[in-house]
Amino acid sequence: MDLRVSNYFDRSKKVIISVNNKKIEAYEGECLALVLFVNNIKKLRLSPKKKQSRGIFCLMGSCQECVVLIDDKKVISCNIFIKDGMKIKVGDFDK
Amino acid sequence: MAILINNRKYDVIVIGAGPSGVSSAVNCAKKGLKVLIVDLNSNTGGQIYRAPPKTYKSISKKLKENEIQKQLSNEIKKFKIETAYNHTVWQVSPGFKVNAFNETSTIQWQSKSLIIATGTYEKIIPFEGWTIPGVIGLAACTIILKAHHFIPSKKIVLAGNGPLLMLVAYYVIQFGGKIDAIVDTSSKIDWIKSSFSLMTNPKNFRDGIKWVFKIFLNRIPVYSNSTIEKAFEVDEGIKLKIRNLKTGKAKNIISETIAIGHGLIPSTDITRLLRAEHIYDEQKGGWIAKVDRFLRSSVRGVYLAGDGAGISGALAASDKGLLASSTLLYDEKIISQKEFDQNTYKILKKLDKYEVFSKAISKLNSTPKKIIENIDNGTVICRCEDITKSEILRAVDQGARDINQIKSWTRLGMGPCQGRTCQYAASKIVAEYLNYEIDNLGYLTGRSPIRPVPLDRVLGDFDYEKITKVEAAPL
Amino acid sequence: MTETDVAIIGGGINGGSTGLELAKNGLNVTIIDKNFICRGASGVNAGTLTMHMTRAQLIPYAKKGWELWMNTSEWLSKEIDVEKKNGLCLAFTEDEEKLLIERSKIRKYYGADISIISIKEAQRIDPNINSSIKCAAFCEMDGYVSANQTGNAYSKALKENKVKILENYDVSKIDYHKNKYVIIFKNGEKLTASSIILATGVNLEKTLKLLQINIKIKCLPQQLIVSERMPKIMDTVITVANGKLSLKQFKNGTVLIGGGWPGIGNIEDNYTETKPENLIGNMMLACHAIPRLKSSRVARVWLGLEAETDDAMPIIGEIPNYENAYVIGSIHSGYTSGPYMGKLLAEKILGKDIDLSLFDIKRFL
Repeated sequence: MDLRVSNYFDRSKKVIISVNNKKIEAYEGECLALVLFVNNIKKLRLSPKKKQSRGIFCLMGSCQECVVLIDDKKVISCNIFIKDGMKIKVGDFDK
Repeated sequence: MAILINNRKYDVIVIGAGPSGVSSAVNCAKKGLKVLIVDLNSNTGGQIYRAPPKTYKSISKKLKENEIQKQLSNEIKKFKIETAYNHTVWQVSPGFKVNAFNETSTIQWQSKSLIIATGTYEKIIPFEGWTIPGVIGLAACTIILKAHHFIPSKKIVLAGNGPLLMLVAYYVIQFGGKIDAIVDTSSKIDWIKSSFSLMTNPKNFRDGIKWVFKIFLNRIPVYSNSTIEKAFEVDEGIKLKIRNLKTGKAKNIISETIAIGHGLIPSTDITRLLRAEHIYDEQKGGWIAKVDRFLRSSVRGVYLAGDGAGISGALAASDKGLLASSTLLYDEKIISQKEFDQNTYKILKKLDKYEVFSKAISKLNSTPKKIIENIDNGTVICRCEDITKSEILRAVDQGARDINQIKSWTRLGMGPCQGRTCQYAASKIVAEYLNYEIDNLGYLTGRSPIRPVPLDRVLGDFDYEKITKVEAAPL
Repeated sequence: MTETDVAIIGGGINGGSTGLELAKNGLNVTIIDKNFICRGASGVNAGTLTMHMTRAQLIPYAKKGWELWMNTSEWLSKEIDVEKKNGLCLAFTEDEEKLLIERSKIRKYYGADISIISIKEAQRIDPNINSSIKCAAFCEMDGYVSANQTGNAYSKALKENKVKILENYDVSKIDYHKNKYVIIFKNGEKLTASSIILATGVNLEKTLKLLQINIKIKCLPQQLIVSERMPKIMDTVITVANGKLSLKQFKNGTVLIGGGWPGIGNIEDNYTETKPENLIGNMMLACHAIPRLKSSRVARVWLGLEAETDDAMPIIGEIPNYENAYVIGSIHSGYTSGPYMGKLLAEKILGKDIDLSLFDIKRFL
């Protein structure tokens, strides 16, 4: 089931991004955090002490939970729009 | 150096491009002031009318919220207001200097006055398992649905309280998703009682009826007087335990996503940085910047628009923007006493009316004592630093008596979110434990940067010789 | 009206360490703070325990202080994280190299075990440092404390030793008659004490005025920067030749950048404000020393108010014209030597023959 709602908007062009070297299809300009979420990539990083998986939470740039690495730089994925060829790393990147 | 100093001095910088930010920016621009409006998002709209991504192409069918957002953007364009979208503000200092970063660099602007229209973030009371990926905010859910046009997952449980529960339910159903349950800490009687007050705002009330009707027609199980006590991961998704706060009965269900929220908390990042006075008002969302009736803060030249100085909702937002900006124009002697009185008289009357409505909403969003008591000792409260309820209470047992002391001793609130996510719940837990008035615990001292700043963006490429020379320390 | 043997005004590490030692020797001690224990400079400083930044004449005291810090479970509390680390002081230019060699030589003369080492040796000690250094100074006696835990540790130790703690008590007046001190608080309460110790840090100028002693104490608003948690990027405490950088990574992964780059602040309303251009200078210097630091994000910036006398040397000892009145404060790199200085003053009060002439307040009167 595609979780995209297409009653109101047409997405533009399809692009390919890679997450931990795995290829994923998405539309240009979509919100990275959501593309990951609906592709069942929900565990984005580990918490500092308990090493529990964490994922998207507030989606408005406040909680800092949805941090991932793009080109080895930390970014909050809820504020990133998909671009073709984006290379994303999730998981235990604080090691 | 990657820090760009923009020496053009603005008359006003408006921080936040939601409905109140836009209305105040427009009001100032109309009177010829040089205005800059800054927002972390890529367009106007704030969270409530968050704009869809720029690459989305509109087709015939329109969503009301997306239309309102478009109007806001048109207003900004019409009055040729300078904008700085995609800019995250990380430091505001007196004078006023506003520092922000975008994808590549850092910039500093200066202005004579500030209008803070930074809105709110969501209040979420922790429960065991709230950190599992797949547990998200209700407000996050509205953004997923209305701005990004996704359904979060095939199946979802909505929990918490207040009207956002109903609104999210409506859109999930409308967009073709399945709701396994709605878990509401309020009772049906609470809703009926509040409906008289809610009727004072017919437009919103009609929306509410529409939402509830949809929930009823789709036979969504609604658990009133109930809360999620525990959640854990299972192969099929997330298993959760729902507890009825009155009868004590429990029920387990399995779903994919939990969206939970208990109302809104005004953003006080900037006013705390500026060392403005703050007061505690539970009904208005907790700690808020102290303002007078005309939305002046205690710091000269700083005005609060929108929900920043107390929750009153989307409809009041643009009026609050008008009020804050009219006060600024009056203080700067740009409009006369007469014009000011004329402008504000109507607005204040309207705002008083909204007050009845927002009081009722706030009642529905109140935090039952029981859900604070019920938080398990092992539950993580500060998500950034993994600080549990028992670690907080241990610091209290050792003598910590204000929230900044608890911060020092436990690291609560020292992580990248600066305590935005945990301060409310942590204070509630401690106040409950000590049987204290919550305002005696104080609030976290505002610290820069209010969002984590990537060092490379602040510094850019630099040569060692270019580093400011300072006098050597004494030997 | 309550009574105590010793009233200590100011609950930072100076007051706290003195009080702790006095209480351990059987005196009835009350510590008064206008805020909370160790919530001023003692709780917000960088926690660096280095000889590379210590004023030469204070090296013998800093060494003793360092030893006390390495042993906190014995005299203070287990509630505080202390780490021993190697200390490297870096020189990036020829001028800095000259300065480093000269300053290290003087510090060595005063007792610090510092040696000048080559680039290669420095890189062997910490491979993460910038390879473009000219040389480094090395000292094994270095390390850090998680300063934010100071308040918890001291308040626990003080309570265990039956010290009475009065927090949120602001002193408005000190009366002295019949060899007794009557401390009057803003809330109207009073406390009588046989002896008093003034240890109010940056507020010392104001507190000394209550005893009609007028000396100038400068207030230095120092900025501190901490990164969010990151993978291990360094394994030493890093400083630089001119003393304007202290850099270390805590066990939890956060990196603390200090070095005394001033911000804006005043004592009157405890107001502080960052100075972006100085933050940037400090950050650049840190990223130059440990290049991998540049990939991190700044999580928080704060300021501490440091006290400094006109000659940047401490004032410790008896207050002239008063019986049983003492002062302790303005200790440069005071966090490192504070516990020892407090112990020394306590021993003097208890009657031991301790020479504090180097720190005599009379030099300013």
